[in-house]
Amino acid sequence: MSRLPRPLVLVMVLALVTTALYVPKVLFPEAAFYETTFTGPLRHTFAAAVKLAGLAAGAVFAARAAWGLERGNLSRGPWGLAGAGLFASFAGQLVFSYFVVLRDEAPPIPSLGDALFLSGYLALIVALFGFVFAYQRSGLPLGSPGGHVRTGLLVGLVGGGLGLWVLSPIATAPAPLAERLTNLAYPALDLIALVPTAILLGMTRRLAGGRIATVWGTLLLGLVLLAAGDAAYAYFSIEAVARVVPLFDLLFMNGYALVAAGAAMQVAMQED
Amino acid sequence: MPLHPHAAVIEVLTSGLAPYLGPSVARSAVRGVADKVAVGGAALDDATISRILQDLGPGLAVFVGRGKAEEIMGGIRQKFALGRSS
Repeated sequence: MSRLPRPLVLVMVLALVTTALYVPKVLFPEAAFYETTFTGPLRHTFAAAVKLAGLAAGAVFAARAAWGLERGNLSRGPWGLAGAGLFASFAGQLVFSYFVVLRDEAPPIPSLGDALFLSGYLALIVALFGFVFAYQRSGLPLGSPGGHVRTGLLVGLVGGGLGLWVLSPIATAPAPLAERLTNLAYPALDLIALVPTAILLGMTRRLAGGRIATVWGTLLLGLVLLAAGDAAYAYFSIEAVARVVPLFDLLFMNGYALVAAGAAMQVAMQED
Repeated sequence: MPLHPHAAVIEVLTSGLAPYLGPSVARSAVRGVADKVAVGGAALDDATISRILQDLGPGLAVFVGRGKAEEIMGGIRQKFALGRSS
């Protein structure tokens, strides 16, 4: 029986722990455990620490993956860009954590944290398109360019339709323009990210059974969780459903952890 | 120069690449390259096998790096007892 890679085991343990801690908060918000033991400040600090650790680890491992590839390798740039994007997101999360953990207040919208997060996300999206290009150019049988374009168009159309549904309440919310634009930017970037993500998922499906598929399956599952978290956060923040906020933390914590685990497995695959 | 049965060569190459590319892509890639360099079904000599390995290397290197790809290809060469220059 083949052993699970250590990063995946760690992510599974984290998923169990965070699910056990955060899901009951949604189901039983008044439970004594959350009133006396795992109180708001501790819960926010724990979530911030996990997110920061995931982002930092992801940035370091992605940079190491880029560093370990020779000059001229088509994947080198995308891994480097992914590392830079994750580092910018780490810096953005530091700003958010400063407000939430140290000042016990919601960060202003927009803030420096948003600028860092959004620029990091943009870098990550460019990196994802870079991976699509690199893997397509590898010459391996991972699907035709035409098929990938069709997948991209289909996802773009469905995502665009979904986007109208998710984004319209945000666009028309009674909030200052800068706040609405910031709240729109996250899910809009998520929708753009879905295009290369879907193409890479198709490639990963073909690679099933190999280490490359394990790396990419983990990375892409992480990105899907992050996109779901962004979309839900944007949508429910307008609806003011504070009760489900712990679910956003759950999605973000595990999303970052999966991205870090995927990047760590890429490094291990290159260096083993 | 010794000849290797075509099907056996495909099998050995596929099993060497499958831990990274998965069995489906590994087999398709090997078949695709083998079909280009050898007449279908004919036994393959060492030089042809080396050429197949050379053709597969750059594609794998995009995912794992050139050093690792050379290491994987080296492991497959050993199974055929091929030298690096053959």
